[in-house]
Amino acid sequence: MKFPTTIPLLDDMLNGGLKTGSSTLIWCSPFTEGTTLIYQLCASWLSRELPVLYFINTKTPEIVLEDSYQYGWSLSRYREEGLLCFIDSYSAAIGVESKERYVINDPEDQKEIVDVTYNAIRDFRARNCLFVVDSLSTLIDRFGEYVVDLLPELNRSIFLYDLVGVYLFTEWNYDPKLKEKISNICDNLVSIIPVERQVAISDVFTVKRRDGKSVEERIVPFKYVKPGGMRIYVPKILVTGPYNAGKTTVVHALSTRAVSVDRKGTTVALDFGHLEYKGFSADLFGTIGQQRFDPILEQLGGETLGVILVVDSTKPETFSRALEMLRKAKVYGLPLVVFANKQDLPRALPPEEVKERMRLPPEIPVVGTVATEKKNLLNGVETLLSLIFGMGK
Amino acid sequence: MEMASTSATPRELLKEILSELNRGAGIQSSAIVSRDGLLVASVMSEDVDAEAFAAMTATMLGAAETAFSELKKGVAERVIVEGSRAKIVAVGAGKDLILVCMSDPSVQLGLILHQIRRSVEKVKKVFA
Repeated sequence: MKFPTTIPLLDDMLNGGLKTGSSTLIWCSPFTEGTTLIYQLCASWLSRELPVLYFINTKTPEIVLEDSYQYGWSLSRYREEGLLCFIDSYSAAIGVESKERYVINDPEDQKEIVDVTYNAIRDFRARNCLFVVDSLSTLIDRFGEYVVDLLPELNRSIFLYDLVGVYLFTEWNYDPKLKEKISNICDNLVSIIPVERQVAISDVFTVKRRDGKSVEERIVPFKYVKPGGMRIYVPKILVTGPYNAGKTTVVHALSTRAVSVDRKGTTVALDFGHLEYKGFSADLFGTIGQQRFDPILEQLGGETLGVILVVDSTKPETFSRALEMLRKAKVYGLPLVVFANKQDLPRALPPEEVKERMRLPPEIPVVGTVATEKKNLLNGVETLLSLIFGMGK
Repeated sequence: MEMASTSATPRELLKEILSELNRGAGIQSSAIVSRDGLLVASVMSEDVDAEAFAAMTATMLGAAETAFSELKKGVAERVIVEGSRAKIVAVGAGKDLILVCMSDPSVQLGLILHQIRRSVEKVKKVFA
């Protein structure tokens, strides 16, 4: 069976989710964050009434519960019900008594760790249990490379007992040969790395291995939000178009929160809004329509990932200005969706005719919208997101 | 982008530079923003929408620079906004970046400018 992670593009890249009997390595570059993703997986398992077995050697189970609560996942109830069980290999190390079902009394004792873990795994056999190791790097730090040689057998047990294994690993300064070995040990390899595009630095994830085979890497930018957890993140969608086309209305209608600098209903600096939609998060930059502000448009066009071009469907005479704005912002050639706005007005041209009059290439989608009624806006956003991320390919 | 001789990532380093700046007299929060309005790093209280602040800062400085170049009076060095409850100072930090900080309204401008200048030099070194 396959279980979705509930993170949109990750599921796509894993062909639907995590398979029963499979092992997955979450590989984090230094200073990136993978534990939140682990919590999110736990929360999604538990919310489906599927059990979670959580091996922990980096903090106390209480901290896991507190941290995940900050992201909006209330997991304590599941621990009381016994659906969430910890293998506590941390408390004893700091001299705290542990009340967990599985406790490792001497975290320096390899044999005890192995024995307790295998007992726990057997207790949870045949239930599609998510088995988490947080973290593999801490085990390696304590016991050396030898730990890595134990993994194939652990993976075999995960396979035999129908669990879903997920290991968290942070790539500190380990021997390159060891890293190579670790990267090939699991069925799936999800990698979290920071990427610098010009000056903006954002974290991305990518799937490097799936079902034991290398796959073509697709890079997906994301951020963690509280509450909510991992969101696919588009730092900039440019909303542009001629004067009075309805850009500000579009930005505000799409945003959970937005700010604008305007005078008498006309934007004079910038509309800015956050969009949250189906696991995606995007920041919208609405530009100024009037020509005299074009220098600012040129400046704000940088590092755009996708463009919404808003035009007034009743004013075909402004269409050439719309295309000029794309050129000025230097965003021509980026993923683009045209909003043929004001479809509710009597003289509005239908989207197909707007497309024809603008002489747009056939692959550029034009959607008819009524921004004041929020009509069709999310359709347009969905189209743009699938263009940006090449979804459904 | 080459890094200075240190093992921390650019982002960590930038955050440290900002924390150091915030430790100075009267400065409450600060951020590094790309000229095109994206947040690069920030150290500010959680109730501030840092992304929106970044976008607006870039717009402010961009508008000031445009105004100056239209006047043919050289380049705009910085934007200073004196509010009733805060001062905001934004300065360019190299070709691509802006450093912006917010301080208590009573803090002397000269002091802020002095501190921010030192931080700008550090930021430039990170991306040197």
